Amino acid sequence: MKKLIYLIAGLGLLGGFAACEDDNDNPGDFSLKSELELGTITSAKGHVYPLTVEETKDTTYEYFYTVRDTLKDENGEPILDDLGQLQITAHEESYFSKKTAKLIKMKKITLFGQADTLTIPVVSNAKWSAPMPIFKRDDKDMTPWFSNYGSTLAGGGNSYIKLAVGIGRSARSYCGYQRVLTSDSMIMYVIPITQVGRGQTPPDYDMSLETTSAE
Amino acid sequence: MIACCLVAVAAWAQTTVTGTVYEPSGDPAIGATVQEKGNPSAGAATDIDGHFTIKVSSTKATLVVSYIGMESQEVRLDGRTKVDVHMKENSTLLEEVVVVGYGTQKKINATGSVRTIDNEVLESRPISNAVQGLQGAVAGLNITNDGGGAPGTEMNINIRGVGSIGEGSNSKPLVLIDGMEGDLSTINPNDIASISVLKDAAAASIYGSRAPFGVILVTTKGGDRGTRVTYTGNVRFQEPVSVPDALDSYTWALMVNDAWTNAGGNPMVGAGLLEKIKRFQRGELEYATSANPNTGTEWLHDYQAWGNTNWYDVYMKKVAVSHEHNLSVTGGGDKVSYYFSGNYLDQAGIFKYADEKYQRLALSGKVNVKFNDIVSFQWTSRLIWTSNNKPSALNALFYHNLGRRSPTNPVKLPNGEYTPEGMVGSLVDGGREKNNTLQFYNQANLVITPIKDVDWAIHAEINSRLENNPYTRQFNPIGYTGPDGTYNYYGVFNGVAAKHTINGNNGNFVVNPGAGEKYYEKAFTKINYFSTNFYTDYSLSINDKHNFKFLVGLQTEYYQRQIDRMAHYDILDPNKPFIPSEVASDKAMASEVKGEWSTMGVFARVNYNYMDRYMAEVNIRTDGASRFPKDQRWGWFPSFSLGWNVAQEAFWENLTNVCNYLKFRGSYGVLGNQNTTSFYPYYQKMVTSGAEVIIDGKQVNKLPVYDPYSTSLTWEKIHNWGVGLDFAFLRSKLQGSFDWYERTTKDMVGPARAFSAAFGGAAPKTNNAEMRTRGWELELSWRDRINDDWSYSVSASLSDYQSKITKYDSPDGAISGWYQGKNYGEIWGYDVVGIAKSDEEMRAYLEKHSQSNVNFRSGSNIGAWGGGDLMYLDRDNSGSVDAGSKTIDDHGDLRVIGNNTPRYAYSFTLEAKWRFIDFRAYFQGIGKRDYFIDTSTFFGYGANPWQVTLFKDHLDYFRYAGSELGANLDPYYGRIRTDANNVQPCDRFLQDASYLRLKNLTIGFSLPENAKISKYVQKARLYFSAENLFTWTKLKIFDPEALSYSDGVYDGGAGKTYPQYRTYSIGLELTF
Repeated sequence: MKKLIYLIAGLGLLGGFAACEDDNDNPGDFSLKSELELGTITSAKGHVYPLTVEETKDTTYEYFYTVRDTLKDENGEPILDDLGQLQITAHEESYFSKKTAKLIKMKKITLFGQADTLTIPVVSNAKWSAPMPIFKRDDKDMTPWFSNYGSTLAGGGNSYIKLAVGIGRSARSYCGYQRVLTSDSMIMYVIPITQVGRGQTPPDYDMSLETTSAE
Repeated sequence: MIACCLVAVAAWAQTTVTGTVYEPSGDPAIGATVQEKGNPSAGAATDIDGHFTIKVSSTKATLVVSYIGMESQEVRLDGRTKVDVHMKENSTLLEEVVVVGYGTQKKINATGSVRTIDNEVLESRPISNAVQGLQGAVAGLNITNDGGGAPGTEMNINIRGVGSIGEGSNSKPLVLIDGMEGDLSTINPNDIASISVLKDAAAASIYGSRAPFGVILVTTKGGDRGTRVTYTGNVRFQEPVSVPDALDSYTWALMVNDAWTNAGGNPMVGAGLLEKIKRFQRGELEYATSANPNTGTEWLHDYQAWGNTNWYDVYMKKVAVSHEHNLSVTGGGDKVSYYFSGNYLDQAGIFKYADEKYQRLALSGKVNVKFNDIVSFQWTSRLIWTSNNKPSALNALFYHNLGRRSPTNPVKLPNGEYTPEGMVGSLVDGGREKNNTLQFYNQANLVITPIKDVDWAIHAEINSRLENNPYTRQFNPIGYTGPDGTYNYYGVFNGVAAKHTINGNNGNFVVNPGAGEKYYEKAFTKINYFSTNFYTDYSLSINDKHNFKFLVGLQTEYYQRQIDRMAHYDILDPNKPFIPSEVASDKAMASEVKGEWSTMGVFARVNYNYMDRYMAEVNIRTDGASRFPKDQRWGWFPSFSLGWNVAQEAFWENLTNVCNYLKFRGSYGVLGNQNTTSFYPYYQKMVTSGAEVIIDGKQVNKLPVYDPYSTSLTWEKIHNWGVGLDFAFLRSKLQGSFDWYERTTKDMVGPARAFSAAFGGAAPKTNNAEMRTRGWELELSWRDRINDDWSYSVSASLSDYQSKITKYDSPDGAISGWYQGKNYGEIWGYDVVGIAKSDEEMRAYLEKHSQSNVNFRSGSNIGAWGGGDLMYLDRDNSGSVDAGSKTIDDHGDLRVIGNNTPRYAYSFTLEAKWRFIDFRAYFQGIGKRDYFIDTSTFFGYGANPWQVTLFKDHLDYFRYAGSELGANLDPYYGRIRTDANNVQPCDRFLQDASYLRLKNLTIGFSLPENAKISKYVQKARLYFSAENLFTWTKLKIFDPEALSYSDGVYDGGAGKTYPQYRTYSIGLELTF
């Protein structure tokens, strides 16, 4: 009989244990940091443009908030306005967060003087976006001479960015800046791009890379 | 003086009785218990010589003698003061009877598949109806509940699985209460003495066309010698189980944004609002909404508000309290016996604001009069009133919407009124739905045994059931005050377009009230049911070897139903609603539905057994049913069965100590099914409906061409055959049975081939389909008594069935419909290769296997694919994942991924008793069941942007590093989206809906028999009982018994149902 009691007690304990409802905590991994790397740029015409870091810069996020209080005199007594109401003061304060973002500025890429399509490989464990390049000169909007397009404006994980490049009679007088950044804005690449005139070859272009690439 | 007299009288009344108790071997029985029946205080035990001396109230008393391992014996003194008692070994099995159609049968002689259980499964349990208590109690009696625990919910019952596809007929078992068709969900469970389940054709065929899918025979309690008054009552504390874990509003908003951006859209909740939500959560903001700057008349809500409301907390009570009371009086003597009872159940609902109330009042009485040795008479009356009172808004749509409430909405507006989006106002002020049922049963049963000492009886039974079902529904105008002080009305079903139509098939009104509408609906249902049974049975025994029993009878039934329904949607005063008298009104609706059917059956049965060793039974019945054309009305339905009790053979004699009962049996029978959905399936029918025509600004009705009828429509014929084995070992300590069966529904009602669209009418129903069900059942029980103090038992049941369509005329072979070879309950879907971890991986997969045509769901869109999305298997390697033409011949990459038929239904019960403490644990479960849930409650988003139901479980979706909700690169769900990319039916999300549930746990404390109070109280028992205490299941989010719900208008899927309860109760049983 003892066995039966043990069995019942055991079943009861098992029931108590198993009946605990599943813990529905968020399974998200908050320790996994965003990573983002850009590979060598290749083009449909067979050109190769390696990317070189010119400058990296770490920036700690600073958060601003508004502090409101009542206006007080030296003794700490509230100062009322003409209508006898409390006067509210507000001033902004800030603090630095523990998040430090990285800005990676690449050396300028100079393209061949021909219409082409560029591919920039992206290696990442994050969602990222590649906003349309900014074309400005002297605070005036300029007609873009290259643009990224299609589903590659934004992506997730490993992917690539496509750029459609136009052509001008002469060398571009201003750079286009292609930015690529993770969705949490913790890593941002800035690639300045310019172009020589029609039919010209960039002065510092390394033709041997194309050979290597072809092999 | 008076006291002295009383003492003297009492002393004078005592009679001393002496005697001896013997064991079957003739030895004296030492320690046997001797008691006076009905007087627990008078008791004695035998000494070493088996002698006893006991003082009893009179020489007319009855002694009850019990001894370990022996059958208890009752000995009437009949004036004697000295008695000798010879105990008999416990041979319960030999005497055990099962209730069968029109009589009883010794269990050992039964050749059909019959199982009779007493009311133990119903006692001391906080159940609201008998059906609940029967779940899992009998192998093959499948009682399932997908609809949650709403008060008054009816469970699904079938015996040995589904027998019909439900296209014009049903396969519900016949429920007979004391021989008359009745409602098992409303009868007072305390009135039930036993329940017998007739599973196969051999057992059920005596009821012919009314019982093709088995019979549940309920026998109610009757009178007994000696007057007893019994009270049982309990108080119940109910809490909801498997309530989804709601998200806080900030997490919810981030997920909403993810869903929209993952589908290529823009975030719905902007950065400013996100910050506001955080501030509200920190307590920095007093209100969760403000005036809509664009209108000024409305408050901001949903994707514009910033509250943090857990709507399940808002709506769910922690505990709902219910109670039940039952009082019965039983008594009688040799001539007259009686049983009267009253039962009251008051069940509360689990939703706050709803003030739900389900009540049942049941009164019953049964009187037996034995006029003489020849004529006896029994009268039974039963009056049952049930009332279900709840808000009109508390329907399937409400459950559907509950999970969709945005947590950003507050419960109340800054002005203190309920926010319209919260639906609280709809429950509180939107009007009530009251459904009352009054059932009045009357049964008269005359039994004549014309010749003394000859086992011949003539039975005449007349039964009637009158039902009255008054129903009202009201929708009241509800609204809120806008920020500018204007009062705005909104519909009780907020967000649903106003609608007022009549269902042409059943006369029901389908109403979605418009904003500010005052709607009042009344309906009266009247049902009259009469039946008669005239039959005679005669038993004959030749040389105590050849035993015959003959039965011949006639049964008639008549059923009439009328439903009158009326409504008006502009009543004057919602507080005193009435239908206004108007000559013509465009705001009034009316319908009348009425019908009747009748049957007549002549039946005969012959039972034969040779020395309890060989048995045979033959049934024949001819039935006529009004539901078929005149030339198709009558059918003949035979059945026969055979049995062989090997344990009664001479060569088995030496084995009886090990196995005292081993019976093989087999049966075959054909039964007809007259249970067509329509009472007049052979009539032409014209059903009005709303036309797509507006005349004078109003939609007008149209009367389409009639639906033609089939002149050849006739009985579905159910062919049953099966084999079984009954056994008992170790002097019946271990008992059990096993059954295997096959049931084929031939000439099953299905639709004929569709007509040309030019005709306009639907094809008629005809007998052109066939379905086969195969299954098996196993029952085992072990009972033992260790000593005077300890006894225990363990019992278990297991059963399974599978059904297949073996014939069906499906011209297109659509997999969503029926077709030949389809297994009942099968689920079609894709296989999932995995979740692409990046855009690159997805792109590489799509280059080989396009997923642009993957959509298997109607009314939903497929967006661009990327990292985090599902890669579906291109099974045919065609380069494209698709569903083909969704037919059995061209189903693309789909396959049958599972089956939602509940399989391997099982239960086991552990019972133990120690002196005055009893314990019972009752487990019930389903061993295998697949379930695919295609709603937003499972996926978070249900294939379109507006079906959003986000719980904590949905947080397990694909997210990259950097997500504010944390990275989740190895999730259960693909990335959350507002479109249908990741919610296709597929094996990955097929749910294992099997479960094991501790249905009931009861611990009881009975008053010890030698307690002083025993003089006044015959039995007193206090018990604690819990229902649905523990559940083991792998099913995500939901309760395995709350998977779908339909109220006839709206169909709710998983999670869109009333929640299940866990119930704790404390109860008391007193017998005086």
